[in-house]
Amino acid sequence: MSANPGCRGATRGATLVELLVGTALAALVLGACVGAVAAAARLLGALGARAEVEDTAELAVEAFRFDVRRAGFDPAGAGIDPLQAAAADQLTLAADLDADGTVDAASEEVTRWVCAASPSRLSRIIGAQSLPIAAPLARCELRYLDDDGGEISAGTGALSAADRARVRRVVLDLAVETAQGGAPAARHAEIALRRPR
Amino acid sequence: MSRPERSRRGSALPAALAIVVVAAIASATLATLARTEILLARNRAAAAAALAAADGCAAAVVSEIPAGWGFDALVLGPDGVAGTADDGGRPAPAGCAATVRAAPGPVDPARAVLRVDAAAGEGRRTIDAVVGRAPQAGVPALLWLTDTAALADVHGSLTLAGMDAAWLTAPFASLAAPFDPAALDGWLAGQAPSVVVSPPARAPLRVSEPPLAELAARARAAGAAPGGTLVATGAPPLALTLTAGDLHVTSLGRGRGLLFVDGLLDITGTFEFSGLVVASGGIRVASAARLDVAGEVWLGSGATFAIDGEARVAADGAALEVADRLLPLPRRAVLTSMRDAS
Repeated sequence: MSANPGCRGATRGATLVELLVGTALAALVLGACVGAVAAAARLLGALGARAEVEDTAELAVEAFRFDVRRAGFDPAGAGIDPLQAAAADQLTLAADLDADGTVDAASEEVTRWVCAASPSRLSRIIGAQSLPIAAPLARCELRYLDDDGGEISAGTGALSAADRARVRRVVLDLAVETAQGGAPAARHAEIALRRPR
Repeated sequence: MSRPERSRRGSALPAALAIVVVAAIASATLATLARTEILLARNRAAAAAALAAADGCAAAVVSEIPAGWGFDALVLGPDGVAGTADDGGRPAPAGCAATVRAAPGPVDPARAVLRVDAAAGEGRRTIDAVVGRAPQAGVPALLWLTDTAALADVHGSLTLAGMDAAWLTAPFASLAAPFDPAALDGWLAGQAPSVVVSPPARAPLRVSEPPLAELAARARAAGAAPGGTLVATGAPPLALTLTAGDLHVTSLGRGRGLLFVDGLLDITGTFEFSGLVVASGGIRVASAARLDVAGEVWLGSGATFAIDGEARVAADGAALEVADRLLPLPRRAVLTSMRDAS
């Protein structure tokens, strides 16, 4: 005659209060999960962006080093001047890559690197083709060192031919800005310019 | 009975499965991204290591190229015949291979193209380097030895002055020889205070041996005087001299230019020279005798270097240039330019 209270309780369903509490707890858990996932996503995004800007800076330096290393390549003994123009914001490198004794200005044998101010960008220019290497930039400066490590000042203009002949090392100071703010990805590359001495 | 049970089961399992699937996809994506980044970083590190290995290999190979005038002998290989298997082969450090080939274009300036293929870890790089001859004649060292025979005890005094007043930024080394500079350092230290290296002087250099046989042949072909160019009074004449056999200086003998003694330079008097002194059989300075050279001294294989008197060799780049104008001197091989071939 008497009903089993446990059995009856198990089948009676959820009360409104229980439902509300359950919903609130679920909402809390879900909110925490969403927050955690969002924070992780933001962190991942920031890390990705940072990695990308570091990669950009590193690749820019590698490409610059590649060009400076081969500047003056002159197997035909034609007297190729490795540094055809040099200023604080740009330089022109030359190499006889196909060993024909001449430098073809329209080919990769002449490479120009330009630190442009507006928009701030480091570009590698071959003939009429300009390839943006890194942007936006917090800093982009080219400097030139002599045999003893002394700086040959380019001032606001370009180095004279006599000064260019003294250049033994080329320095690239580069800082690439990040999209999310924070410290720029900075690189300092000092690369020897080979020339007979 | 069954209906209420179904409704109580709820959606926990599908929800959990969905979460597991989403988490698995996210984890797999992250793992793939991380793996890609790691591979990229590893490739970049391997490429950088291989490039450094190629640079180091090129420097090592160039440093072993004998001093000389051109590169024909290197291109032809040990058999001296073109078109054979040994053409251009050069000894190289472990992990890299090097070959030399003739450079295109005109013969002058002397040069060759060196190809270096180097591996480091998982990376491999190939570079082409143009090798030429140094603008400076000889080596920047006061005494250029062929072997260790000359490293005998000094009973008198030997002063090696590496500073050339005209070339203040580039002092000469005291010694140069085709073996470990540590042995030269050890000899200098062991001979103190009889041997004095007046600072500043560069540390001893490891270079190939001086090519004296070819230098003698060139001096002969250039019409070198057989002797008699040392004077006791007045300004000595600028001369290219090649003496066959020993040369004895018994009183005062002063000279200028290039003196090649194809034997022993035996000094029992006073010998003063400006330029290059080559002694294939070595130098002996007797007790109370004096040798004073402004320029360089080169010694041949098995040469004697017996200093019982007073000897001084002082750097003088200008005197060496004068000698070089009399007879072009051998030069070291230097790397003048390069490019990455891969």
